[in-house]
Amino acid sequence: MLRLIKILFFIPPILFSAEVRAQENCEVTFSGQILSEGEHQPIAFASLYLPELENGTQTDENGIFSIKIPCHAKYEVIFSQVEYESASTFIDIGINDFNNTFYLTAKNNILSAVSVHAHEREEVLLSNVESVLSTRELRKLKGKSLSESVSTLPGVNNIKTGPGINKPMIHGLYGSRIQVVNNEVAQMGQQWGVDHAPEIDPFVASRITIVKGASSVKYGPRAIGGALLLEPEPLTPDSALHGSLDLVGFTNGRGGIASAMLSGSFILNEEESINWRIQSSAKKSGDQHAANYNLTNTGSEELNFSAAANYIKNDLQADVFYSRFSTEIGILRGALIGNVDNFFEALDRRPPFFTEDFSYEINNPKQNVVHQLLKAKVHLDRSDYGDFDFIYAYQQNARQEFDIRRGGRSDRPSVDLQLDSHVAKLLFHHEPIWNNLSGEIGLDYEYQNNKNVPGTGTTPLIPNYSSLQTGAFLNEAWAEENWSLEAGLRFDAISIDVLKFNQEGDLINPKHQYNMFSGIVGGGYDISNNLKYKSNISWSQRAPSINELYSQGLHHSVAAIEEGDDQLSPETSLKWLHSLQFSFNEKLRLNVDAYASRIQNYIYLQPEEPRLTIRGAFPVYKYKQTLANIFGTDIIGSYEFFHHFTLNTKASIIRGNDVSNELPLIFMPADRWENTLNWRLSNKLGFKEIDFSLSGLKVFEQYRAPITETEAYERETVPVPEGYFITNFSLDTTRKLKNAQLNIGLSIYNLMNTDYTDYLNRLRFYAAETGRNIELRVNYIF
Amino acid sequence: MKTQIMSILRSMLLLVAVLLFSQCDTEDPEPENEEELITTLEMTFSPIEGGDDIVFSVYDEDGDGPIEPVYTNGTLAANTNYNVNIEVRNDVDNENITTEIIEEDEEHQFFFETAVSLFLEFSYEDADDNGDPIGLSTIFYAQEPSNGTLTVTLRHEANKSAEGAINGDPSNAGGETDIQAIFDVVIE
Repeated sequence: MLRLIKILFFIPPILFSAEVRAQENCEVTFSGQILSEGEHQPIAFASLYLPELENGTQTDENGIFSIKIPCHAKYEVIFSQVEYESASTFIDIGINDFNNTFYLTAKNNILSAVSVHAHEREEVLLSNVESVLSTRELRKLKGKSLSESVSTLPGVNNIKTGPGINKPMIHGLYGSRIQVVNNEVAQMGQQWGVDHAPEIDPFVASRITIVKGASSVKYGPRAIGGALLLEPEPLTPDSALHGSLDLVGFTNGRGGIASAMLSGSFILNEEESINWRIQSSAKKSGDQHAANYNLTNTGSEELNFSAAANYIKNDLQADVFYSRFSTEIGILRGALIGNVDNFFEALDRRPPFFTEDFSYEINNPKQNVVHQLLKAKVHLDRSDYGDFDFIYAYQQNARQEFDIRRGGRSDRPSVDLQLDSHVAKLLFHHEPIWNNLSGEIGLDYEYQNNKNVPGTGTTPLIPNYSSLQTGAFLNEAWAEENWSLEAGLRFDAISIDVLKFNQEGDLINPKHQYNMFSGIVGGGYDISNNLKYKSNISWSQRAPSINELYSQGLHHSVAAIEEGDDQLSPETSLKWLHSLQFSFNEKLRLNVDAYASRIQNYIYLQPEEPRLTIRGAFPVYKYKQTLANIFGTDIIGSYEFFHHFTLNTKASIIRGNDVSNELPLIFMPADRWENTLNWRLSNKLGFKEIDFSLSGLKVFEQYRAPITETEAYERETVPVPEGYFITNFSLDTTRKLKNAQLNIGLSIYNLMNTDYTDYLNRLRFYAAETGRNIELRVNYIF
Repeated sequence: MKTQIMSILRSMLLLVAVLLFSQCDTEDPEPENEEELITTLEMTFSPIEGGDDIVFSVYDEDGDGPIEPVYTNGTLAANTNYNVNIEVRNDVDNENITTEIIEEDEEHQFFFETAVSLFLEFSYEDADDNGDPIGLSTIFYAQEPSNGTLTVTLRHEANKSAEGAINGDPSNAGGETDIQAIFDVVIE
């Protein structure tokens, strides 16, 4: 957000009570001062140029300028100075003299070391294919969860457990196969659960990147399926106090979100500064609504807080960051079932069982999650040989899940887990050798300790364990003007120490040790100015996660028993990724990604014979391994029909096969195609920008779903959702105010209030997706 | 400058060392009783006109575990009325769950479904504070000689006013099944 302010020129029409001149041939004095952004130091010898007049002037030692120009006109003014970024703005001259202050941003290469490294973004592997949500796009997604936001990118899907729980999927893989990196720290939550959303406040991030290739080399073995990176705005010295306020209101759920951020600096001297930022957000939503009925007990609450501070001195930067995320999420009451009979009774029941009128109340079943992160980082920039980073982070994840229980036990959680983790990373990024070869070498350390908090009165789903993972990696890239080549290698070793009671009630202490290698070779070639090609082949390994090894028990939301297998071996994935970028005439843009991966020992849930118990029959799923093939393509294109009127198209197709059993893979996203018409107006009606968009999303039926669910229940076929088409509308405006910016947006999701279900919603058996939602967003930045 | 870097590196190494050696091991888990475990349902048929009790029961020692439930079935006399009482227990921890059901009687109901081939009728003989049936106490009427299954279902938080619920049919009542016992009944 701060970045925007950097390029924002304050144009308050400070009207002086100057003498009124004659209307004809009148002249006014345009004067002011040019200061540096951040330090607010006068910029001497900066030139101003007004192209319409073919005239200009220069500032003096104090950054002050003055020029006489004709009145009653609008002029473009171009500012330039060798040490600063050139910039331009428009001024509207009436009949009065015009005086203003302008700010220029220092050029990075000459700027004092102070903000060079502070501006540095997390670098992604050069040849990797990534999609980014920038500040601008994120602003339109302020009312959405993290996973819903990233699923607007092609190749990314959103796995839902009802409306409140969203989990991202990249190219068909999710959970333990995706690494979420929040503020440079590997997120350590209970990622294994399909109904466990990432415990992150999306308001902290100013940029979200999805890395689609296997990026294990850089982000560790869990990134076998890709990575999701969240980065906050860099904390840089700026003597002005900045902040932002967000308010979001939405009709479906009758809820709202409020978020506020404030940042500032203490500039001690030219070389030293202390910078800080605090941020908080809160969300409250009642029951959501499907097209035709209320979704009882789908309300949610969230309360988040974060604080960041750093100390910058010359080439040294030290950062501390703390965040606390807490949420309470209700789960659709009608989705809590007992046995197979209950499942089939609920299957065709619309509205679902237990449907009541709208309420803000959150009852059981529900989840309470608190995630805390404390991070410390030291960055040292040595221009002669490279820069060092040392990051240490402590995370605590507390998760409680509540069920409907007998005998007054509903106040006690059925699942109560506390995961403490320490991660440390040491990274050295060397300066280019022979001008072209740059790279990094790093060490990673991860320690996790998971415990079941006693007192649940239930058999734990996953056992107490501790795991220690250490890794070392090396990435080098050779970059020429129109091509680049890179290679990376990584080795990780993980040891897992488990303590649990076996079936006989004896305490056992199994230990596991896995070694994991990963490597990547890739490159990019700019075939012409209009055509760019990137490709990489990656090899990565992932150790089985704790649930795959030791899961034991009944999942109420699917009425299924899940059983782990402690004999599983690591998965090995080979993925080949291509990306072609084409642009023509600045009007047509096309980006095609294609990928194919082969995963040996792919771990999945295989249905076994249903189990008969005193509670009736339950399907049993066991973790098994197979050879899997996943391939597909993501296409994104845009064409500008006429000025600022654009058609955007996004399509993704994915195919997954269980090669050993000659079956399609379960839970693969259906083919989807989205088209958006976008019309943008600039400098109209007092707004800097007005942006209309209307989009239509078509999701096809997943006709390649295996029939395993039917086998599991040994009853009639459980149907796969039909294809659907939904439309969304949004209107976004940007208005410049004095020293501030105001963004107001309106969105209508599911415009036609379509009644549909999605294959990737685990509660699709019990209720439809949410109906129409009208959302109003106000964002004020100063 | 060099000394500054060295001192920072030294403190980093120290921090890493502290991390590596200060770790606690996996915590000992506390044994957790499956508190809501139900192992046993006993259904006692007492002839109203006098005679020996006939007991149908199901016993599943590990709840959701792989050990299959064990059934004890009985034979009813034709053209006889029975007072039937149900008892629910957790025999592993010696708990009587019937009392828990009585305490939360508005949230619990037993449902009874008979196979078409079995000539067995029943009526609820108890009610909660709302006047809705519970099913711990019933009267069964064994008619002509026949045989077939009797499915006894205990539902938690079922909708007692749903269609058919009053007649012992759970299919519209929702809720979670706590017990589902399928007895083979012979009427002679």
